[in-house]
Amino acid sequence: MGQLFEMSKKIDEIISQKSLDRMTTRGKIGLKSGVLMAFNENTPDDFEKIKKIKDAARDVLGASL
Amino acid sequence: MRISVKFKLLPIIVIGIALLTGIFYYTFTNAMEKNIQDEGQNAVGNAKELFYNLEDNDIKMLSSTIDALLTNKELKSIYLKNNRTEMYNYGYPIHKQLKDEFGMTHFYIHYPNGTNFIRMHSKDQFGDKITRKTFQKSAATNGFGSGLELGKTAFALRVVHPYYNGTNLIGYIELGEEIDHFLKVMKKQTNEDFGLFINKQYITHADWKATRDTKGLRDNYDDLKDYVAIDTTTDDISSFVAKDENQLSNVPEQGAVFNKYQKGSSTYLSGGFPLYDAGGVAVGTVVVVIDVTGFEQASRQNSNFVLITAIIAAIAVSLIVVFLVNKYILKPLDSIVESTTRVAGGDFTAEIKAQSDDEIGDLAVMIEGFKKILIGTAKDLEQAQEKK
Repeated sequence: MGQLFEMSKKIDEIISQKSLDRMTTRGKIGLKSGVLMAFNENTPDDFEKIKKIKDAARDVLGASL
Repeated sequence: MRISVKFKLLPIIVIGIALLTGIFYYTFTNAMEKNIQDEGQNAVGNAKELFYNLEDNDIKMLSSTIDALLTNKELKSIYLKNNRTEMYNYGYPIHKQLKDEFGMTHFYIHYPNGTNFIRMHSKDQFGDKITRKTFQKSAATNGFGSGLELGKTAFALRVVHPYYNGTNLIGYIELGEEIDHFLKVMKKQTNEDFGLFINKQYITHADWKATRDTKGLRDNYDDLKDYVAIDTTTDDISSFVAKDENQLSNVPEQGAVFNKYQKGSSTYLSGGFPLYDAGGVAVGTVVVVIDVTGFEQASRQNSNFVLITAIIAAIAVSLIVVFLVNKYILKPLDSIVESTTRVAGGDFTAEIKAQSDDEIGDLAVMIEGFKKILIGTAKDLEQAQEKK
């Protein structure tokens, strides 16, 4: 429980470091991965979604999570 | 690599402009060439009209002079004496006056059977049988016989009329003139150059050479294969005709433009119309050389102006098209993409607004609807998870 939320926070940190628009960048990752980027602590772990988001984040942000 | 629709449109626009400009320029250039040809055809037509008007006027002049001679009682009484010397003494001053003042170079009186009685212009030449077509026409119609007749080396305009004493035919009076002034008058009136080209079957090299030698002129008989220039307003007219000599024998009744030439910075058109003798036989061609430099330059300037205007107009239209595509299609699409991306990023407050009442606006309304469904579904799932 909470792995997707943690990953979402890491993504926000990188977006912040790179001074990108948060919602637009998260949207691009969401659209690329096919996953709605709305998570909280209770969002259940889903390894398939995690992999898709990691791959999409690498393409959009140019950084590995 | 991602390429914007704007840049995808660019080559189509550039190719379109180039193609349209090319088609336009080709059409305009063709129209310009046609105008020049029409100008040439008009000049040939005008020259033909001028030539035959001159012929008609001079026939009238010769005819009215013959009329005056026919009523000259003294001339008739001397002629009836059949004394050639007395006739010459009386007639030569008349001939000289007609020649000096009006260019009438030939003055004959023939017997009723066509045998020449006297030539005022050549007193030692007489007694020959006259068989010319103008004489035959006069004898056949019992009236005026007139027209151009080619001698051994030159054309002459001749008019013949029967000579009566009461109702008795006592002979024929004939007046003639050389027509070398025709081309000079035509050049003066039109500023174009002209040449009389006669088919060599009507003129022998020996006769022509003798005539040229007498005048101290170069023998030009071999300048062309089948034609010889017997009268011209410019020495180099044969050079205009040399390449088109085959066209001289096929000139239509109304005349034709032969070719376009470039000499130095000047452009010329050559053309011509058939030259008929008194018997209606086309014995040669009157060649016209028209300087179309000014006309062509004016047309080219117009062409360049129109071409530049067309290019500017095409670029302006293209820019307007790009601007409109950007404003009404690309910007609204960008706005939809931006809002949709933010929603996908979790910003459910991002509103996808329809900016226009058209297909793009319909797309925005539809995606906004999908967004609401998506948010509702996400909330439902969240509540379901919380209940678990």
